[in-house]
Amino acid sequence: MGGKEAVVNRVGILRQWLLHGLLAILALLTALPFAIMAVMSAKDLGQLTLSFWAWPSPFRWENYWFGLRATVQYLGNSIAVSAAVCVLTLVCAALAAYAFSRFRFPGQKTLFGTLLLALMIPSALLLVPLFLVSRELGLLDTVWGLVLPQTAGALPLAILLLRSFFDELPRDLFDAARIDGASELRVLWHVVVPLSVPVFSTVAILNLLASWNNYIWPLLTVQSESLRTLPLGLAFLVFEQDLKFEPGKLMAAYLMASLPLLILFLFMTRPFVKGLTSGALKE
Amino acid sequence: MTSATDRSERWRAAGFLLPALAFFGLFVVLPALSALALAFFRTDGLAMREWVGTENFRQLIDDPLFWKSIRNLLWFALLTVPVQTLGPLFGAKLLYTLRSPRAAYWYRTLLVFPVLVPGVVTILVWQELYGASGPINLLLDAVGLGEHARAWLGDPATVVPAIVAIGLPFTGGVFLLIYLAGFLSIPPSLLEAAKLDGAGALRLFASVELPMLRTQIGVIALLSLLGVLQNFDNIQILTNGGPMNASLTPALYLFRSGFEFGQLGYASALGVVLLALCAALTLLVRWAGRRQS
Amino acid sequence: MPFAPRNLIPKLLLKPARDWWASLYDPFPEDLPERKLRRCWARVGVLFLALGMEVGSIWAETGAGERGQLTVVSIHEDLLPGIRAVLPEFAAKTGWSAEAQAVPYSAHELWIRTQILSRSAPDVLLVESTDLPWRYGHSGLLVRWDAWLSQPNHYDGAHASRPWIDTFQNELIHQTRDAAGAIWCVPYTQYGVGFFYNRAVYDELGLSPPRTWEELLANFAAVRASGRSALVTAVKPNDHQSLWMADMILELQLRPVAEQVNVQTRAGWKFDALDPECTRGEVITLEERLVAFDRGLIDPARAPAFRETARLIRRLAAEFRPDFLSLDGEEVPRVFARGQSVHFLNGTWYLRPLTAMQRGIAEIAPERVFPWAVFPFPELTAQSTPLPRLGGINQNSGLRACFIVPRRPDDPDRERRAIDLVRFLTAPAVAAESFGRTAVYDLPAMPEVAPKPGAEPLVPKVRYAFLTLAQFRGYDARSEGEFWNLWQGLLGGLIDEDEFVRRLGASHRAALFRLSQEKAAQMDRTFLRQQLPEGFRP
Repeated sequence: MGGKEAVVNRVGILRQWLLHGLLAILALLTALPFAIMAVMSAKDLGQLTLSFWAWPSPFRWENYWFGLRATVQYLGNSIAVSAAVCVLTLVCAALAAYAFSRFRFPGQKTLFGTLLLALMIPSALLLVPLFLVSRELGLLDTVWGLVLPQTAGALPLAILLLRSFFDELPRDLFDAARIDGASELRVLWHVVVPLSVPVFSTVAILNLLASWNNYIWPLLTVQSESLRTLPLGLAFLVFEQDLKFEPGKLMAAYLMASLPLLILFLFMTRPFVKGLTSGALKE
Repeated sequence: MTSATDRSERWRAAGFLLPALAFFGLFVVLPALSALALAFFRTDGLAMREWVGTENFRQLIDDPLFWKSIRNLLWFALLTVPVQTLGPLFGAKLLYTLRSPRAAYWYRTLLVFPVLVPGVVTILVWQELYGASGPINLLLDAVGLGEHARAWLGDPATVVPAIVAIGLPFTGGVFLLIYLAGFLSIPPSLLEAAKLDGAGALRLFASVELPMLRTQIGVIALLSLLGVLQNFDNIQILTNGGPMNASLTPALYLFRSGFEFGQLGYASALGVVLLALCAALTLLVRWAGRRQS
Repeated sequence: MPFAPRNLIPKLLLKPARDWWASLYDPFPEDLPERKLRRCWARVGVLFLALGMEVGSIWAETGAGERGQLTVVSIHEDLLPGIRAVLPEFAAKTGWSAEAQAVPYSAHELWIRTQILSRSAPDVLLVESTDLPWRYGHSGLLVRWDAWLSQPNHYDGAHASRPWIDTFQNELIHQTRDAAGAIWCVPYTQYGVGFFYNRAVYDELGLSPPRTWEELLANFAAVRASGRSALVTAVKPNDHQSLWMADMILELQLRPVAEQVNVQTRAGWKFDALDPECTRGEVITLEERLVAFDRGLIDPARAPAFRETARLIRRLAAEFRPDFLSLDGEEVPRVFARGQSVHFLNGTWYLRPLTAMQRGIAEIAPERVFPWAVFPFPELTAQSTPLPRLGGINQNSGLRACFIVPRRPDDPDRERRAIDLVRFLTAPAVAAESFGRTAVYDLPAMPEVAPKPGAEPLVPKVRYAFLTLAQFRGYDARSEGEFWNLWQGLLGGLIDEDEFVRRLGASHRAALFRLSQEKAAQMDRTFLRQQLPEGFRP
């Protein structure tokens, strides 16, 4: 018996090493564009022109100092807008997805179909009418003008993703909670949300990325400099300081702009812990 | 006949849906309707507006460029959707099988965070890679395949695969997280039961995990397809549909018609057709999915 | 729990930071209870929100379009310092202050579109290319300049009685006119185009700058024989180098039919290729263009000039670096600066990037810096082409920055002030002062304003009579899109010249038909009925 187990174990260990190797290669390949960006950010124009692929020498540390100064003034706006979009989307989408998943009501299928259809509307067509709606509501050049339309745009996808996860949750959990006399909101908050932390953080990441990188909408609606978000601020920067002659500095600014999200990612991928949800499901 | 509980459920559903629907109606449905209505006008979206009925649609059917863009789209979809659906599944399976949670954490971070790289930078890097004396061609030269070196984005035969390849190696990104969340929600009791039955790793994957991930696979295939349908900004920067319209997609054609050629009515008609196409496709996929299960 | 900021800092900041730091060492404490996790999440969310609100709390509303204040928005940031410098003078003269802002070049078209559509556009816009003014002009959203331009510009000090239009270079006014002859923008700067070449290589190979087409090809062949790439270029809708070459050649070869095309003229008008002033005040109208096209004078499928132009450029394309179809305009000077190609054809605005790149290279590898110079596009001779020619090549110089003014039906006074501001900014004395304060090498649109010294080689020396008889790239944005694909196909060797001119002819015809439908109401019907009894058909 012991011998057989040892063999199984050895095969298992070998397989684990193989996994490590494969994942390392994949991770390397995936991270390559980021690495190239990081390398580029330490170069000056001469190096980028002559030897695009070479290691930076001399290393231009001053690019990072510039990047930091350039991004920090727009960082607050981007954080506030992205956070507001993210929170609003998660709350609204969770409520709606719960309704789609747990209630039966007339027009349910049609409504869900409409949501799906909204994902397919070519976004370019929506820009101008959306701009007009925002103007009518007096949202131009305000934070809400940035937050609300982006939230609305993010909702269909979020609802779709959340619903597909809520549907998979075992029914008995809900019934048990209901028998205990819990209200629907309590069921959502105390049963569904803890079980769906991974998918919530996925949706949050999706949302953060989209609103963090959104360039066109802020460009169209924001006029005051104090409201500029990161991509918009960087675009003005490229423009006003002739950064097209300094791609290295620009890359450094991009890099700095992605640091806050990187740190947040370290947090956000934490819920993907093996056994966290399964532990709850076992009970 | 509705019972009291039914009615209360309706009210509760309405309450739950209200915030989302308010946003959705105001900022999506309203603009969308007003945009799509333009399909029945000849308009540049500015001052000129003339009712032409279904003229735009008739013109669309006769437009060889439209059909070419549809062909290109099929080509894009055929290449993109399978790799974007299966690649992250593969990555997620690897991560899930990994025993050490700490290693999994760091691999996961490495696989996901590059989505932070702005699109402009990715495009810059790949343009450099594809250049006539870029690394790819140099490599081909070095291994004696010099005659296969070419301007990858400038050749109608290679432009579509070259654009698709920009997502290499396809295993990371947000899709990976969706799959991972799916893997995590598989009840361990199921896996243990299967293991007790003596199922090997492959059997386990094929008969337990894969069926449990059906929803995720469907969602991601749909998202990937939608991505292909909607994506035009990358293509616009890289090739603007060229050379010889070999990378023109309907979304790009729509954008160019509406904003470059000043034919917003025509663009809206294209949008309507595209939308109908998508809806039909989704219905087909869902119908097929339902028949299978 | 009472709200106390004192508690907030340790609660919101220190604890998560410590947790996070600990989690780096052990990201997965096995016993992480679900409640604790939720609290941790909530804290991260609140922290994130609070931080953002704190830093971004200086949000304020701005009032736009105040009375007595005009706004100028430019997509060319480098022109702004000069414009800003003269605005106080305008304020002193008129009592209307004005401010100048920039909008990033990327996505500027979308920006302008939404601003104009929502009637919140700035009073004056400085934009690039004529396409955008034409489009918005046709929709009635812009001020049409023809009438204003024919009056004197009262800011034009010494020449108070000269029509405003005569302050601008004649060719630019021609390029500004749309296919129906209307002017929707006022020229401000123009580019000059020439071949940049690597003088080190020229010295090494004993070459001298070519004057004729044959000499150019011979130089290219010599460069190629030495194992180098002769010419780097990009062929994309946003990289026009190859189109400029074609435009220069086509203009020369269409000159013989100028009088046959331009039939609605003032009495006794004669075309004299050697007299650049003979075309002043002449307009090729849409009616004339329709008739000329119908007669085959400017139909690519029938007029030999188009096929001949395509043949010549295709001959040149054999010397392009092979990646020309995938290259981006931005990369072209980089390839040249790396010494990987010996020539590139481009305009005045490349002087600055090229100088910057060489300065950068000098810092890390001074031995890679080489001397360069510019020569003008060479002349066609009887040997180069069998077609008759009048005069020589008109060095390509074209419109770059131009002013547009959105209409303001609700506030005509404001609109008039905006027009007045454009007049002020383009008055030669004011423009000279503005240009003096910029780092722009583009040439001023007013011949009286001297260009920057560094731009000398790109200033056209000899000028011939100029009329835009036909547009190689077509007559509206759609046909231009079609043109680029055909052009890529021709230069990439996918279609031959015959196929190219056949399809280009169809595209041009369709574009003119669209225009004739759009403009049906404004056209001279009697003229058309006489000349085109069967009408113009697609």
